Amino acid sequence: MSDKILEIPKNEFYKSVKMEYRKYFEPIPEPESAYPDGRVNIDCPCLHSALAHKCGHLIRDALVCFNASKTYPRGMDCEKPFMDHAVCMTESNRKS
Amino acid sequence: MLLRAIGRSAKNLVSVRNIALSRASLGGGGHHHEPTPVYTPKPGSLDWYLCGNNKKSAHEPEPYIPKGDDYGSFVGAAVFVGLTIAAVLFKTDAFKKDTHVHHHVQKHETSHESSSHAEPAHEPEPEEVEAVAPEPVASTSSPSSEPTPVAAQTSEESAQPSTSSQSEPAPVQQETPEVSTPTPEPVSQSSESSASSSSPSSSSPSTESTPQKSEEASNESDEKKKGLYCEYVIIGSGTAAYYASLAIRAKQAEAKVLMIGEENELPYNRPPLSKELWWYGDENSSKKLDYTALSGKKRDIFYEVEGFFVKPEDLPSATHGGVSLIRGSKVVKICEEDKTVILEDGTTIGFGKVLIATGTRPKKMDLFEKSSNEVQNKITYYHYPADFKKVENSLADSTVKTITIIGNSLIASELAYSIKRKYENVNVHQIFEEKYNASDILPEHLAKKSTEAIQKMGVNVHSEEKIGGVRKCCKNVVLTMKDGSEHRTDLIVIADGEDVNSELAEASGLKINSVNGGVTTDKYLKVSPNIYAAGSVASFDDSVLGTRRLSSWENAQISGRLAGENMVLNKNEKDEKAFWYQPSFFTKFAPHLHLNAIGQIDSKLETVAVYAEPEKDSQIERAVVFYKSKNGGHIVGVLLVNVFGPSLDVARRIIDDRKNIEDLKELAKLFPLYEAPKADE
Repeated sequence: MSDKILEIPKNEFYKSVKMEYRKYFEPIPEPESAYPDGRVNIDCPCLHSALAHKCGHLIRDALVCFNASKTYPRGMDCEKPFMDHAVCMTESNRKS
Repeated sequence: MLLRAIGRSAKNLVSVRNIALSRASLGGGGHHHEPTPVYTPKPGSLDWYLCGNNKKSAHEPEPYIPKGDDYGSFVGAAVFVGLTIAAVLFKTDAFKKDTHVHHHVQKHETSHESSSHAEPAHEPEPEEVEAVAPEPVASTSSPSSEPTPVAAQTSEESAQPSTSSQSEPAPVQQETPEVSTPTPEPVSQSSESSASSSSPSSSSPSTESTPQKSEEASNESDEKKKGLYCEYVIIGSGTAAYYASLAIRAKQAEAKVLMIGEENELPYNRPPLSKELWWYGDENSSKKLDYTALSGKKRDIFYEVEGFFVKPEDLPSATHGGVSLIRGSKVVKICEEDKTVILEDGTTIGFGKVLIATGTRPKKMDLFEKSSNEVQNKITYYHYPADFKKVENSLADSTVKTITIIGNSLIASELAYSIKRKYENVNVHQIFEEKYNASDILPEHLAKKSTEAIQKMGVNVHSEEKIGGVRKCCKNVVLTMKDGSEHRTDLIVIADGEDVNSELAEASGLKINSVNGGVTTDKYLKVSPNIYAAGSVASFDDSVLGTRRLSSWENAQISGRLAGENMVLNKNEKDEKAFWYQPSFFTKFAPHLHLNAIGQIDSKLETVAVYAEPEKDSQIERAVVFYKSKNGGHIVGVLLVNVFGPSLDVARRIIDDRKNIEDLKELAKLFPLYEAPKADE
């Protein structure tokens, strides 16, 4: 119930932070959507919605193919799985 | 480039040849090969066995002359056909007109065991249908009642006019004239009652509640849904339930997830109901529940479109699993030993793992619950999309010029602010018993500031007021205050607290936390080996902050994901993950007062607020408020006022560290209370 009010003026704020508190700046690791070499991270939470979709197994196959692809640019040989997924998505959206 | 190829191919879906072309053009670098010609067999070169032999036979066809035996066959055939026609004519009602009357008369005449005969206009009860199997007809039964069930039988049953199956005539007879399509429900139904099959036609408008299902599932496919089992069953269709379904499918690729929700909408996002839909919505918002986000795109509150979900009847046969949604169905009990959930209408669904994500509902006020119907029409508890639609519509067409919001909670305060922000000419009043807005969350000085800010906007805040009575007077409603004064308003919106939807857990014998009302779980969100709970219904063990129950959106997302993940990990006998990521919440109920908070934000705790000097031009104040623990004084909560950037993560680190820090001004430097100094050029 006791509420203290402190004020920090500008000049004091700009003085550097004490060493012991700098560890709080450490960002919380968030999963990357893609690896540095260009492969897609299928475990990324950003993909959860697409993977949980009715057509999710198709995009999973497509991404697995994409990651395993040796062509340059990556994924040139994965047209069919991506197509299958696109067709499935169009059909499911048409019905809904 | 791959995307372009996909686009090109998508346009030429029909022609496989074109796809081949494009692939060649991509990989071959400009070689446009002539397509290989399609092989066309010469006419007559193939033997089409299935299509009949067109070749003329070697013999001339002989003229047919009937002989002795043949005549017998003719007579037999004629008798058979004649009998059939006679039977259909006389014994069935296929050619009869006024079948209804006949049936009623017959029913009363025949003395049969079923008492359902008493109601002519009833609705068939599926249970009776067990008697579908042909039973020997009692010789005393009147002839007309015998065959009537026959007509109602589907083609599955052999239509034997003579031996009619004596199924319960009552329901079946009634259906025959009305429903021409076979009604499998009475026929193939077993003891299970057809739960949520809202069969669109008149058939079995059952005695049980028929929750609406948007899927036009045929009756037959509804059958597959019964007697049912789904590996992962989620009770609830809100944020926690949705994110849990995502997490389950992400962790187990072919998982089958069944969401059973009481609400009729697809899973939706609740915070916009008191924020974005008002701030960025337009006149169509109440129809589609959409708004134009700051990015310029139209967004609605729903997480997914209907096409995302697999239809419940298709779920058992879905080879790659999917998320299925049953809307408008309430689960009343979880039977732990049998591993089944029981719906309100009696259906039982077996599960492998079940998640309770039933959420909360607005707390009702006795005074209003006991008021007359006329008054109750003018009252809305604010929680559901329907409430938003009601309030928005009545404000948009100006039927409501004075609106009163009761409560000082965040929802009430947000609503007051949002409504006033959108409809400047409407008189917005907020009535509550406490001293300031959000006084249970904010330290007094901040609560006072925010109340003054919202008053400055034009909202009439009646603080420290108790409502004594309510009555309808002329076109509006009059609230009588305890001090005798009266307040007249067109519409009352109540957002004064929430009740946890824990009745299901209580009925199932699960432990409820007496302090916060939630279903007790451990740090893995587990209630018992096969039962989990997430979202605002769950009272979980936070290793840093103790047992808590949070109603924020982020908590629903995080705990939903965690519970989903743990359900799969548990099934595979792997180690589960404990709750670790502190959820935050965001609220805004006054101009220039953007609040983000993490941890235990309780005004009863000791607080230390560090203010920065207000900005010169805009006079916006920035501050960080630290909430200190009762035992130990370490920081358990951080509230950020107009502070952005990665500050929430910094706050998370501070809370997880559980240190008692004396020099909080030092800690405040970690937050962007002032803009970064511009480099001198």
